[in-house]
Amino acid sequence: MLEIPGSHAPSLSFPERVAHQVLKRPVVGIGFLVLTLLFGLTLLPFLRNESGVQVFADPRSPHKAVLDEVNAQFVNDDLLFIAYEAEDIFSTESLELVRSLGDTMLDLRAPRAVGGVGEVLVEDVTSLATVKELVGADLVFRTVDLVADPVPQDEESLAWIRERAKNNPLMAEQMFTSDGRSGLIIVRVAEDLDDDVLAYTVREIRRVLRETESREEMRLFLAGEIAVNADIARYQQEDLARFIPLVYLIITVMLFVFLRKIRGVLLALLCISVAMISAMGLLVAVGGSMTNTTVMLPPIILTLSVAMLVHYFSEYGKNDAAGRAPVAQRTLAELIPPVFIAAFTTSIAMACLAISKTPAVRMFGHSASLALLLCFLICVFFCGVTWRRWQAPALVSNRGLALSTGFDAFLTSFARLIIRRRLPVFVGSLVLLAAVGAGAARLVVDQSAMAMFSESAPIKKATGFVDDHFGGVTTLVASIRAPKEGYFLEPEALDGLEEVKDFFLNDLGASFVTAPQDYVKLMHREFLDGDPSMYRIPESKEQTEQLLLLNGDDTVAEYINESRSWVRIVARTTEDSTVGLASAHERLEQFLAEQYPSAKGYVTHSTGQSRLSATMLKELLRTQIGSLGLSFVVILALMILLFRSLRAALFSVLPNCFPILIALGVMGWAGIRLDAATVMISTIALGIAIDDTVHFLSHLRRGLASHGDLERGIIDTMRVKGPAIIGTSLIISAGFAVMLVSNFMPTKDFAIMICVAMMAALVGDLVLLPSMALVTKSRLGVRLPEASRSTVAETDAGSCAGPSIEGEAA
Amino acid sequence: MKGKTLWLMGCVSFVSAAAVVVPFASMASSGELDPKELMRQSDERHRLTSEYTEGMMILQAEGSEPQQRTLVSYTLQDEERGDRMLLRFLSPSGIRNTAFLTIEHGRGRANDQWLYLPAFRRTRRLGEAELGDRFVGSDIFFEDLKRRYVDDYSYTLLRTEACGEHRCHVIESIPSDPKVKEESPYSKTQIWLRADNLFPIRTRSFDSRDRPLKEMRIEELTQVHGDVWRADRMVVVDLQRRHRTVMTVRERTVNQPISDDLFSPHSLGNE
Repeated sequence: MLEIPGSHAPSLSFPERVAHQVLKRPVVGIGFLVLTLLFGLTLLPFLRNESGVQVFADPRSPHKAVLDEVNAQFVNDDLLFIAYEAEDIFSTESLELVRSLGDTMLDLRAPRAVGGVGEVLVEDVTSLATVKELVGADLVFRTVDLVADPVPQDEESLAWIRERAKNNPLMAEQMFTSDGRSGLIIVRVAEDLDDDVLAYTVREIRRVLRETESREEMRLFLAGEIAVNADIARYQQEDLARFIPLVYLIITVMLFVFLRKIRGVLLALLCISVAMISAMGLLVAVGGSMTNTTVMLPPIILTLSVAMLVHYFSEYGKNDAAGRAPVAQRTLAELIPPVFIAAFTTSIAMACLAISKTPAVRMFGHSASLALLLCFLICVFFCGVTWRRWQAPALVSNRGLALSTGFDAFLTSFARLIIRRRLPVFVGSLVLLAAVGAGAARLVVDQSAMAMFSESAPIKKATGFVDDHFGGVTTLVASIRAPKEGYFLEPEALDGLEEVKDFFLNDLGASFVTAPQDYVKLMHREFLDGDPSMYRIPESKEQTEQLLLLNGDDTVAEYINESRSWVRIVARTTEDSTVGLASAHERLEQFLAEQYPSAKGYVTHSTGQSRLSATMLKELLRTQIGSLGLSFVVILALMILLFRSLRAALFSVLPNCFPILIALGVMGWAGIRLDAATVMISTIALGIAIDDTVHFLSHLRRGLASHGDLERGIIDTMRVKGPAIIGTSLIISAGFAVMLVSNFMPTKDFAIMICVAMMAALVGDLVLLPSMALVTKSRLGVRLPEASRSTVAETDAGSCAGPSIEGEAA
Repeated sequence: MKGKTLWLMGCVSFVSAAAVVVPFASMASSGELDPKELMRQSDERHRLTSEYTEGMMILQAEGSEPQQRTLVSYTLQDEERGDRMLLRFLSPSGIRNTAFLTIEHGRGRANDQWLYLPAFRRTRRLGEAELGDRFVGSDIFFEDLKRRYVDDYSYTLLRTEACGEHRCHVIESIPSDPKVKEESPYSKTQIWLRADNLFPIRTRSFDSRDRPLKEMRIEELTQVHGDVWRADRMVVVDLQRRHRTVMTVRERTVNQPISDDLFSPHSLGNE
């Protein structure tokens, strides 16, 4: 049974009193752990899955407001594109099949399973089989379905359909290829569907397409931003669901290598699991859901709880080996302050994400910040409970890496090497930082949806097919409002819209553009008996107005409003990089502002889902950079407060920056883009780096306070803290390295960057930090009382029973 | 027996549905309300020989300013020669004198529709338009302008309920004639037929997927001649497009002679 000394001894410091209470009252610890676990288990079933991008959109963004306004006036541009390939797309069979596909999609309803109540999923399907055709000849003018119902069987009717479609500029090339072998179905999904319902819609349409392909001789390709977003979310979450168990397995093996005690490993895993479950419960409690950002919460909690436990177990074993009784209390007392500081600072780093305008990032910031503090408490109580029951040898074997004498000797030699070669090591670290960090200058801040998928991914193949045959799936929308009603009936105004169309085609490289004047020209031609030379803008305002009055097809209302004062022009492009799209939107915005000056009462916008996507990443990066900067400032302030020493706090800056700069540099050199997934790395890297830096600095300062010898302090710290720091880094890196086999690029990039950040944090803490201290001959803000200097020199390294460090937070 | 329901056409042309002759009370007392008979009586009761109206068509999309058009209509209802209707827009100036002529030829035969665009000085035959197409961008389909024969539909009396200060029979009509079934944009229509005058004061139509498509409400009703009633204000809402059309009548003349010559494609250009 554990021997616990009296807690009222006057010599006990605050951490010792806390440790004493934790060990003395295991029931409190067990109660806390059970309640925490129950809390997590109770809330976990309520964890919602938000699989798309809506949670990344700033609901107060002006771009979102513009798009909502334009969509409300016209129609949404939430489109899916289904390209199909057949022997002859104008055959009866093909037309029937396309019509039947459209009908099937229009019949799709949202089930309760995805939170639906049977609402319509697809609002509209446009295809050769559904499109309207204007026919003007022999004094007759009418709007008819291009393909009658039932689909004609005779050659003459089919030839008429082919001919009419080829002569209609709104169909030719946009809806079918000139060889008549490929066609395009455009599916407009219903408005206001949430991400889960959208993902369900994509799944259902895929199922319908698969079934069709299996029984018909037709190849079908589903593309479009909605499908891409659904796939990104699905791949990412599937990957993490698939890999987290593997990460667990690898961590288990690595923990065994480190501790060499099955009991120790199992207890560590139990503690990690309680932390993970509680953290997810906390996510629910703060109103969060599982998104592409909060999906990072489990790996972060896994990482940091492993790090905390490795430190606890490692030091527990070391203190026991050194015979520093009472071992459990001493170890807890030694570790509670640095672990708390580490958890608190990381928590602050996460809390800084709450400044984001992006709901998903804010949600992540709140939950991660609280989860880390909870994680700290879980680890403290867990150690308190288990250490009261089991002594160190039952949990950590001296054959494990944590207590290995060979490893200890290696670390001693390593520390001595750094001491001997302090300048070259320090300069070398800086050179490494400069050389690798320089890659950060090459960093491309961009996100290309297609770059996330492997070549074999169905969405990539489908998008490639649509890009090659139908000019892309990304839409750019120009919205132009004139100050007076009927303005866009004027021939000059329609000529102006032709210039906008030309700008889309020639300057922005759009593949196809659909504008209201296209319909007017077509109506003009058909009203004048289909004379091809009449495919032009009418001569007078009255002619246009009267032609539009005849419109029996709702499609025109998607491009011009009822008072003819507001138009919408839609372009399709193959561009999918956020940088390219942002640039295109900015240029379009500028062009529109020049053509239609606001001073004259025009209101113009470049808008569309593509603008939201481009803005979203920009906002995400701005937030990340802002919150990272803020966390550095806040953490520095905390370090100053906690160490009560500016010098000690400043010493933490470079080792903390080191993994971030190295990670960004590696990304730059390796050509990995800074995107929505990789931008999270800096926060995680900072969180990990701070932990180890705090542990290293705290121990080193304690040593200095005890004996005043920097070199000895470094050797001692390297021996005491080195195994835990190295163990943490190796365990986490090995765990996440398993994700490198993923086919989904963001998962792969995430894994690479976690490993790089871990290794860099290791170098920063074990190489850069001690060599910097040695080169600068700094005492890290520790002021040693003259009287104690000679007596404490004999004290064992790392003792907390000696004179306290001036100002150390306790 | 030939009959028709004109619950929407009547409103567009500012005519309304036909008369009911059979005393309603006697049917009610027998306890056997036959919805088809009710519709037939409604169809016959509200017929007029001729009608001239001046009124307004207001189009309004959700969140947009309303667009007003003024127009006049001339209607001749003739069981032998078929009904004829001429619509002419008076404003806005851009569409002034645009004219639309419909000549019906009886059950099972296609209508003739003609259009005159003054800006082109040309008349064009519209051919047989898609019945689901909108008439002049409004919420009224060409289907609603077409004569609807009672025998082309099957009817079910859903219930009798209060509608404002009156009682209404709620009747569901479903196309039964194969051709009508194929061409109609509506899979079914629910009709609120006022019990006292058998005038349809509200309808709710469903699309081919049984989704609510349109709703029509009569907001002002006038007894114009004998038992004949007409709507002076009607609102049609496209529930899917979130768009509405309001039809109002400013002036009406009934059963006064109207020249046949007016209903000729050649005279459409005469202003």
